Amino acid sequence: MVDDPNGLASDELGDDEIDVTPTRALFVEMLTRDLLLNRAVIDLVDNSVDGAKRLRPERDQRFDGLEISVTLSSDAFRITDNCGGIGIDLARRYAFRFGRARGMPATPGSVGQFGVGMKRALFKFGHGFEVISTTATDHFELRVDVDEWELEPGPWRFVFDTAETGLENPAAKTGTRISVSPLRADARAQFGNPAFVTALTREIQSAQQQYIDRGLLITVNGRSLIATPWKLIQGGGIEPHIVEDVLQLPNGVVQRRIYAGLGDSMPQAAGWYVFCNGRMILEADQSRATGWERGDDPEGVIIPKFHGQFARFRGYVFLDSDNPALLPWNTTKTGVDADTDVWRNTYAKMRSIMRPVIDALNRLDAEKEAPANARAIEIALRNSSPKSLRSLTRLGDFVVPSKAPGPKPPPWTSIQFSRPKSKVDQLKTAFGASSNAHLGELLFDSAYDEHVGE
Amino acid sequence: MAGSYTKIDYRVRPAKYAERLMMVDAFRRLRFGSIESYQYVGLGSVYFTDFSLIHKSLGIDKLVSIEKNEEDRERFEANVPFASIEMLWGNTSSELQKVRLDLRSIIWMDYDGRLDRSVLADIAHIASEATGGSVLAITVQCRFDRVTREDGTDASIEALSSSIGAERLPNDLSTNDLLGKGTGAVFRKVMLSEIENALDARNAILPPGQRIKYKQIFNFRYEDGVQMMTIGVVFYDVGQQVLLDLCGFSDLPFIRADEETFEIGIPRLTPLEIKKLERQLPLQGSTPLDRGAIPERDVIRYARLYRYFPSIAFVDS
Repeated sequence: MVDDPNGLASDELGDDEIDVTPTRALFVEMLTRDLLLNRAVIDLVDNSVDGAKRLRPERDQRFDGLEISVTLSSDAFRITDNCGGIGIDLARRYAFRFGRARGMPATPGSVGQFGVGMKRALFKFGHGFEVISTTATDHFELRVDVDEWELEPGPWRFVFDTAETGLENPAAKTGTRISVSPLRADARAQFGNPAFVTALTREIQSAQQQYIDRGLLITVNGRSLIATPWKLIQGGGIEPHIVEDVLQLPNGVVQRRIYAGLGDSMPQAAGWYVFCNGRMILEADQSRATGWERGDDPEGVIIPKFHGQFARFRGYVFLDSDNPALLPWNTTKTGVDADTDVWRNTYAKMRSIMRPVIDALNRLDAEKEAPANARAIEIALRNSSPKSLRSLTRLGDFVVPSKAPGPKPPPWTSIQFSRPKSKVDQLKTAFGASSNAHLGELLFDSAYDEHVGE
Repeated sequence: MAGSYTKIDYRVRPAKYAERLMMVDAFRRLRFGSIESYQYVGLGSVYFTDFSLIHKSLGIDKLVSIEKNEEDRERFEANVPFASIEMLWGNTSSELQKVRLDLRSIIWMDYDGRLDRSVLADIAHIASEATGGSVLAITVQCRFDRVTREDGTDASIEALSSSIGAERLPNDLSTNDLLGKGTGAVFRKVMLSEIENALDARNAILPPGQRIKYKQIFNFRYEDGVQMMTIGVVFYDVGQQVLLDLCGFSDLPFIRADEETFEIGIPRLTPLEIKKLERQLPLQGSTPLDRGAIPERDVIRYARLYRYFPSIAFVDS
């Protein structure tokens, strides 16, 4: 029997025992297998954002002056922040442990809750990494050659190259710098690929929208990301649905805000947006996950499968908690964990809340068949404008103008046909019509007067 | 769909008439608060028949009617029988949201059509919001609706799946299960499971002692031209179990708490026959009724229903 460098020496093993210690290589492989590179980068950005939140913990506090910078190329990956740094104690007990040790408190309202993000990302990216961090009192430097570490025998550990505590570092000097090189083959290929970097930039911008909006500066390869605040249409008799409540759960409290209403007609932007502790985990979702049902019957008012006429639908769900374990995100923060109590309850609320909006959009669609002055919602839309969620303060139900009372207007229909262009142009000139549609209207009205009469 | 009020005079549907009276008899037994303090929410149509009954016999003042035929608004408003009826104009999907379901309510969603996703979404919304002590009754058509493909083969299950969602139906459902009373039985299960799912989501964030449960009280079937069904449930929080027990619904002969139905069969009797039977009612122990020449089936039906049987006379002037 060959002694496994990771396991017990065979003489330490009793006759009735089997050594089941995993090899480090297997562990690294398992830990990183399903992780996408872009998610791993976003995980690291999340950690820095958590640092910013530890520095400025008040809800909605500004983050001006705090900065996270990500640099990636086919040679190396680096993320630097000035968000308070990782203390030696935190590094030993949490940041470099695999899994959160029991009793280790979470950052209130944090995003990185699983205690695996950073290590997983570092292993995923490269064969070696370096972490240098400075807090108000501590400074450490840690360099790990992953290939060597995988072969090391005995207990699993990383060794600090430098670890000082009891210092008095100025606040401006605090922060963390993580560098990875040399990169593994897939990271080398992707990090050097401009399309990957562009997509990643957009993802970070979306995911961290809330924080960028609050003044946090995030740059990717030197380009700073900008916030495009989430908006809903308001005015002209249109009001979005806005509800805020607090869910009291056995292990803590979840603050919930749900916004739903109309936006500009953009199919790719329509749907539900779900945020956990400010981090976007679903973007413009138009799937079953957020209540869109598969149905081929447009009759009646259901929550239909997402369809073109709903390109104006927008919904935003914000779930915040000091105890991130209560939030319904999956481990990669790319979607919701549908089995959680908070999500089951929120999903039911979303389904209820979206119905009047869908109803209004069906009406808007039907208004195409109505005379121009009977198009209540279309008229309202002209007198409204998109407002950022922050500026919307009225709590209450979704409102759109109701149908005008009075007899149902006769339905309208459109006529479409083709004729040789030269003939059409001649007739247009003869009638002094400004467009084909105008010509058609003139011809129709004159034919109607002549053959049908008033 | 044009409102069915343009086709049917609601007042001359005898089974529906009997159903309304039975429902009111049951509502009178609610012990969660004074019955006058309840809110009634219905789909009043132009006749407001249920509203008249609820207001006059139960003393409920807070009345809300949802009406989608907005363009006929003038006609509806001219027919509103009481000052305290609040009209909500639009689809139930939009208007139910405006109803304050945190008030103890009797909600009767008396639809014209069949069960579909929209009805189920209404049910889910109400079950998510209704406060303890509230009653929800849902009436829909439940006739077996055979659908065939162009080649003549049966597609009834597919049609049903597309109108209410395949995920809501048992995997092994066959057309035979829908025949006769089968459609009603399937609809009942689908409606109740919609309620259960909504309550599960609602209870997920509530402490155990305040979770909301429901109990079925109505499972009516009747036919005034088309087969209809009414399912009724009471919502209560766990702490209100004792109040629910006090209601003593099971003492009423038409209460149905499970899949067994109560059929509202209208006997065909002459005024003289009615007088003859009523003199012998209520039933005295096991003494059989002297039915004379009246068919036995009609006698049994009448004995079951006589308190709720409509007396309709058309007066030709």
